[in-house]
Amino acid sequence: MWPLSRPKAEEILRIGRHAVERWKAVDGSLAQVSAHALLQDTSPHPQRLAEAVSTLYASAPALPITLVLESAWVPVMLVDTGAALLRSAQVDALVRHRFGLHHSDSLDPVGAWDLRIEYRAGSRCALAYGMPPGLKQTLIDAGRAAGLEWVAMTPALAWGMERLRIAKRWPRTPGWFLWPEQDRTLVARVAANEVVGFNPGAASASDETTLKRLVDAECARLGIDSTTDPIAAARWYSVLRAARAGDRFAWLDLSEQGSPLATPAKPTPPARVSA
Amino acid sequence: MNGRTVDFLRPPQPPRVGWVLLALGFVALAIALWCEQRWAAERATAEHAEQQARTEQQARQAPPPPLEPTLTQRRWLQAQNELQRPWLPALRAIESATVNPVFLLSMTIEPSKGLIKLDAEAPSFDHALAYVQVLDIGGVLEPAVLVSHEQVPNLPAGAGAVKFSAVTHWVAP
Repeated sequence: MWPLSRPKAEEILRIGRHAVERWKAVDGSLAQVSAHALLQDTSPHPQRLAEAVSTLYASAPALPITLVLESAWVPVMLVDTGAALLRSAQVDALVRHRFGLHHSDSLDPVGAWDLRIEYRAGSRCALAYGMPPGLKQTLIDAGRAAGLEWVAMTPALAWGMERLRIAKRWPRTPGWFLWPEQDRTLVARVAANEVVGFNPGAASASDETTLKRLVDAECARLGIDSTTDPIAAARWYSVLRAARAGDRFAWLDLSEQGSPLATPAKPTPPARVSA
Repeated sequence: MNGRTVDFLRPPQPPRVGWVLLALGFVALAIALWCEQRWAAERATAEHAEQQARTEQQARQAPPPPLEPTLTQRRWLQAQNELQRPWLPALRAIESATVNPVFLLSMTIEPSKGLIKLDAEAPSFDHALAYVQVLDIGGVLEPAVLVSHEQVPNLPAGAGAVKFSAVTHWVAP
């Protein structure tokens, strides 16, 4: 399919650990339409997603929808590939091994996962996303049952970096990108259009001080001095804040302030179902 | 972060722009080869025409072949050559040089080569040598070469004599 022939997504279905949220594109920005909270138990079950989709789109028109899956469902991992130049098959085997160390499950073996790997030949790092086949099939079946058209099924981090153009934000200097998820924060160090440092499970945070502390902790973990590198933190719910000139911290809002559909000043997911 | 959205609904594919650029590259290569072939043929034609023009120009600038002389012209040319040979000055020079006690025994002349061979007799080798050295005085004959000499002891007068041979050429006018 050519890029221009791909139907433009009118809606975003954000699938997180705590809730499934419907977001709609409004004048280039996003506004939340409704949400369906998920039951919190020990591990996420794909069947709950089917229920959420059918509930959220009980009487919805069949618009093109992009599924944005957070890392609670589609794990993301930065794999150190070493100094050797690896072939695609070698990188794939290495990534499967690394995923298997953290997500091994006899009922859902990592060997059957669908992987997407962002690896530049000669690079030392590979950013990998893993999709369990059961989850993928459940979402496809749920969409088919509800008469919905899935345009894309993409990890939330990749979607956010693409939407916010993180790759072009710091073309020369390295920077930090903080991606908020419902149950965690992803901390990525970006240099030369590439993720070179990554924490896939930092604590949830919504204020500037805590996010900066996360960056400091990541600096200490990576053993680098990054007191002046810029920090960009994405957020789904925009809040009016005065920008401070010269500060290295910047907010990247996904939803528009003052949108009639937006949920103002509410970083936590909404309650069970809202229309 | 390669500019393509990660999508699990579709298998990862190389970027379409890569195929487009590859196709453009092949088209450019084909055009370059076509132009090269065409221009090579044009260059070969131009070089051939230039070579032909050069050959024609050289043929035009070459001297015309000599005309074959007629029989009369050939006879006249032969007679002219004969007339131009310095018979009389050569004989006069030899006659004036040959004085007593040197005596000319024989003389052979090859007119086509201008070669004059002299056989003479002198009372001594010194007389013979002096005779050879004075032959070219006057500029009619080239310096003569004493090619051989022979001592003749049994003469009636009791003194010996030297027979010698000299070779010279006449100077063509």
